[in-house]
Amino acid sequence: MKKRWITLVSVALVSSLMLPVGSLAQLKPVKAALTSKVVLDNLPYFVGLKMGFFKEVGIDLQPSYFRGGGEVVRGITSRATDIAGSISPAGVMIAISKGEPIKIVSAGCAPLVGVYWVVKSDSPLKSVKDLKGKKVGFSSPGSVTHTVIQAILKAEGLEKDTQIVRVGSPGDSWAAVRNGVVDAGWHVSPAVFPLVAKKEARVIIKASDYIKHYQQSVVAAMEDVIKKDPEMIRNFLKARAKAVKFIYDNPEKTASIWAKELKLPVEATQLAYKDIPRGFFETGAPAMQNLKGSMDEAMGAGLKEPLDLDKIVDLRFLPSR
Amino acid sequence: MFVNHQTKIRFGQIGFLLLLLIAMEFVVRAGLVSVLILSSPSTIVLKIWEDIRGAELWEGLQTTAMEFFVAFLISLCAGVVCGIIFFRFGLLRSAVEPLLLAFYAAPTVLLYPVFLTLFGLGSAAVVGVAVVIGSIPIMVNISVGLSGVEPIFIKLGRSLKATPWQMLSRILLPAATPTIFTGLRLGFTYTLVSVIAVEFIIFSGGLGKMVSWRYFIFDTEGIFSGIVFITLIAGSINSFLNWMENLIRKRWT
Repeated sequence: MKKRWITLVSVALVSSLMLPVGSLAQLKPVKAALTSKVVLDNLPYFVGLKMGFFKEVGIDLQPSYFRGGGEVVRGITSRATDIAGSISPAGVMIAISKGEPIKIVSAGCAPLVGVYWVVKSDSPLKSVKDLKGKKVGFSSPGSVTHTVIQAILKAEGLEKDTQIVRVGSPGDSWAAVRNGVVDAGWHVSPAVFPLVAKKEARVIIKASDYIKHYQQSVVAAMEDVIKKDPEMIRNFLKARAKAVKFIYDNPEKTASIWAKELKLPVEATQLAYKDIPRGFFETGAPAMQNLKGSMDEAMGAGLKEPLDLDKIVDLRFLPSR
Repeated sequence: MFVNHQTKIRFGQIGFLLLLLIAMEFVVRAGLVSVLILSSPSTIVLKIWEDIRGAELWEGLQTTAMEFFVAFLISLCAGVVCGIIFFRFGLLRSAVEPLLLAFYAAPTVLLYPVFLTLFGLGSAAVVGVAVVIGSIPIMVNISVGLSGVEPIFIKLGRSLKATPWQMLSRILLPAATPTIFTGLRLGFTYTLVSVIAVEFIIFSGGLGKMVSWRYFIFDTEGIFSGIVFITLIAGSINSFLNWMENLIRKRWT
């Protein structure tokens, strides 16, 4: 009997030494809710996954892409995902006002970059002023494109004369423009560049020309998830920050990863890369001025009263801390 | 005290509904379910009152009602004409019916991009999809109902030298009433569901757009308020169809 036990323990010890090291330190699966895959905000996650930055911190990142707007928020409030990696702060604010215990844990992207409105290249519409009496597409109610197009039309005095129409994803939006369902539809970098290069589409509005103080996206999580696993939040932000640094230090490799992920020609992503200003991908606290800009837009999309912005953030896990 | 069976059923229905509402109120107030998923009946009632006093509901209702009635009328006409043609020409019916039934079983509402391209963004696209979906059960049931009339009735009509119109109006249609009304009910249900669904997807207007907007801005009590109104509309029209069917049965039997 004693001999049998000694044999069993010896076999177990030898077997464990033969296992690959990684098997002993299992990666923690982390489901991340992200906005529509083609949106620029997701680039750090493509890079982080490809370069193994999330694995380095023990995270097996499992992205789930949503249609944007309130859909990403529902991705975390339904507990289907653990963290929202690219979420509209306006959507977060509306959910918080309804009593959902969400906290913003990091800035995502700001200001507004990579969002455009396009027309067919032979369209007579040349500028936003030509949109009077026309139909303009946005993605979904409560989304960045919804709040931004309303702000742009208001700035030009066109909010009563121009009809905004829900068109869905960039692909659906372009189909709506091509088929005449809308006169101008939203699109994003880099996917828009091949259309422009082939002279099928023409950019009529560059959102960043109009909106200066705007938090395009943030990273957020439910309070109970933060409480239960603060290390996951810290490691997630650490890996994301490493990916952001890589993006700025390695343009060629970044463009290549981006192109492969979105199945686009690398020339398109190289062009789109040049359009990204330094500091677009943020890894610190969201600027209050930008959050206030997002809150102003949220007031027009379901937020009934302003929120105390200091109370909706939890910045303990930022990489700089 | 003697309580008859019908009254017992009524009490049971009311009791079940009350229990459900109390349970909903409890789970929401106790925080067992997120307010983004379910609202308490008390807040839904307040929202219903707010909607009745506001403009959004009535504007949406006007659009949806117009789209539904136009779509149902077209579905009815198309369904009756095609149903009678299929009955009259059995070979055509044999050839087309299996395709129609296959089409009927498919998620036809996904054809909405075709109608968007054909008619643009607006009520015409909504009506187009609803007609395609709503007319099929009407035409199929009319053709099946007419084909299933007892041969003895047809022999009687022929022996009395009934004209084709008399045959149809005095013998075939009355005899096929139960099956035809089943088709009408299905056509009505699918037309209404299609109208609301397409409004929800394409955000063109009506109650569907209202519910869609409220979904995206997390107005959960607003969503349920919209659902209550849609249910009331569906229930009212169903009751009307019931009344019509009873009237026609009394007249023809």
